[in-house]
Amino acid sequence: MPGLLREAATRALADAELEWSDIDAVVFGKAPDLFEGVMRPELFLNDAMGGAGKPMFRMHTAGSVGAHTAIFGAHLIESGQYECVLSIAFEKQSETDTSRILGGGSRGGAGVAFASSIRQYIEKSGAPPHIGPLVAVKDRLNALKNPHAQLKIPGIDIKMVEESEMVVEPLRKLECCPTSDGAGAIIFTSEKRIPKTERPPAWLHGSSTRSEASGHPSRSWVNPLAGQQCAAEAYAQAGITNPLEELDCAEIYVPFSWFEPMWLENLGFAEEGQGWKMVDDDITAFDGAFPVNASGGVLSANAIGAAGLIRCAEAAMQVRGTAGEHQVPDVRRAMGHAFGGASQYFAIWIVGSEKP
Amino acid sequence: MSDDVKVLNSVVSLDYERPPTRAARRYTEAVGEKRLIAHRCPECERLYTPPKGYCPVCVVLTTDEHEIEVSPEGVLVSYTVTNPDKLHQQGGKTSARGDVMLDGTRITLMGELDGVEAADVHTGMRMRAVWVELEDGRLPSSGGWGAVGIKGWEPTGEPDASREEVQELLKKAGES
Amino acid sequence: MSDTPVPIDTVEMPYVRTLGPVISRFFTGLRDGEIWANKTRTGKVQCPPFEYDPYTGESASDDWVQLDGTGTVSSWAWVEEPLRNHLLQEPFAWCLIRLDGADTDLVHAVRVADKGQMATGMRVEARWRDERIGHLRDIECFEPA
Ligand SMILES: [Zn+2]
Repeated sequence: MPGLLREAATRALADAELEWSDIDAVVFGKAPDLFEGVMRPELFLNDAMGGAGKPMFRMHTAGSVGAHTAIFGAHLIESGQYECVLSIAFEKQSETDTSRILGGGSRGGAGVAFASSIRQYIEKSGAPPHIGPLVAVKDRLNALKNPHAQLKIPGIDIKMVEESEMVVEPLRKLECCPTSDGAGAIIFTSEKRIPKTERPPAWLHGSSTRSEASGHPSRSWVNPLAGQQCAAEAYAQAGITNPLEELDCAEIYVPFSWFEPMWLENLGFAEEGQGWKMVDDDITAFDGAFPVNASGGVLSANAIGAAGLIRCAEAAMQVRGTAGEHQVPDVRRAMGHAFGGASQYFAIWIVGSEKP
Repeated sequence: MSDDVKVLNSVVSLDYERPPTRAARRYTEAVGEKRLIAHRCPECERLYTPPKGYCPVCVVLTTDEHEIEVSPEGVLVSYTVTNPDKLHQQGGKTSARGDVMLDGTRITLMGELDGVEAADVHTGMRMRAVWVELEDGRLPSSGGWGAVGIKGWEPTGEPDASREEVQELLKKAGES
Repeated sequence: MSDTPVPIDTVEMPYVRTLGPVISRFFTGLRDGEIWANKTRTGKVQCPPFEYDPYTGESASDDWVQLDGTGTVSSWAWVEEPLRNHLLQEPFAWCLIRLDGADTDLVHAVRVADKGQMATGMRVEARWRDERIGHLRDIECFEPA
């Protein structure tokens, strides 16, 4: 665990050309402690993150925690409290049978919880069955361009997805995210402490987090209110009125293929019931008008606690122009997004290449 | 070197004492009589089963006086068929799980579907609860998501709700 | 209040932990009946070893030293009723042990005939198991030297 975290942190420090001693405070995030079986691992990991003698904050909002970790790090700078903050998140799922934890004991994994809402979406929107496989192919093709993607399937095509085994109806094996170990780190600075590197910073234009109760009647898992509100606030902060026009790409949390059309609607990129048409028209493909998950996304690596932070980091890399082979051309503004729990936690940020 | 120790095997095992709340005790007693009870929030009228003892939306407490009996039958509004052995887990058999919306409520409860082949499961089916047996007056551990005290759901054999009726139920459930 | 006994739920999960190069070296040593410590860049000897210097976050050096299984109790806490997964199933002391040559403490169990024999500053030595697998439990416990 310390090694995994330190690999991410030392790369972020190297990218920013900073030392451990430059960090004023550390924000740490991961999903349920049961994944690694170490209760409150921040107690023993704090010094591995260079946190000794510094303020350290633990975030926890299940699968969305990485994005909360990023946003909270930014808040510490925005508040004027600190000048340089390290936000770092990880998950090491290889150590135990995470499907038992995520499947609520039923061994089916998280898909068991989400498959029912996916069927509701399909039956309600009338989306054709090939939409899920289309998303799976698109994200895995993107993953081939990303050196940090875990799941690389050369030659992936829709036939391969449609012929993969049915795991949790209507989800086939290749429409599900893998089990991953991983970490991510982002360094935030105030304007006066921007590192003087050749690589430009990303500027935060807006951010928002929202939650809602997991269990009460009248809550929608298909188009959760908290997700809609979260997006609306982030757009308002960034001065965005037409997100599809004003953003150039997005990294959204899609652990199962069908979440892409569902979240396109939830985030206001499409009208309700119309998100699947954006997928069908290749608008969200790498060379489409609005690329979604150019990194390969969560479908290509889902170290749960880190995955939200990595969505935020990938959005930042796109506006910095440092995404390498999976760089989308001319990105001025991008979204990083994550959701967690029983579709009940949401975190979104919008970053830009220029100071807002 | 190849014979280096590279992994550590460990088992994390903890015992928890879980004293039941009054609402949980009454719920358990009702399950023993094959009855399903709920609390109705005095402010928003949402129903909760098992009773939470509060409404998280209105943030008000609920007690015995808000207890009502609800039907343990309803309509299958969504489902999935899981094949855990096809993923990376060891073991686990093919089974169907579904969401049943209880009659006269906006409550959906998840559970295993019994008495129907996975291939024959479809939305709109009328289902009834299959109750668990209490052990020494206690509910056995549920071992997964699903309604506490309800082992699963089985078809009643009554005619299906139509596709339109299912969509109407889902729409009603989504209204805040 | 009701007389019903409070139900107990046991939550149990198995884990297989990958150790990484530094901890792997420490555990491989334990399997072979050896105790190894590593040095920070400022020369502090850490046992158990860490990948880094906990005070600065800087990576540790590649400089390793072997320690004997002898040391001094820095502090201790008496356990009268061991839990089912404790190292020893008889009354024992959880101890911070400063092994000879180390600058940091190791947490382990000390076995004594009775609590009266425990004292801060007492000398202890490792009691090794015959069957070792690469685990901190390869040292069954420490005993008065
Ligand atoms: Zn209420």
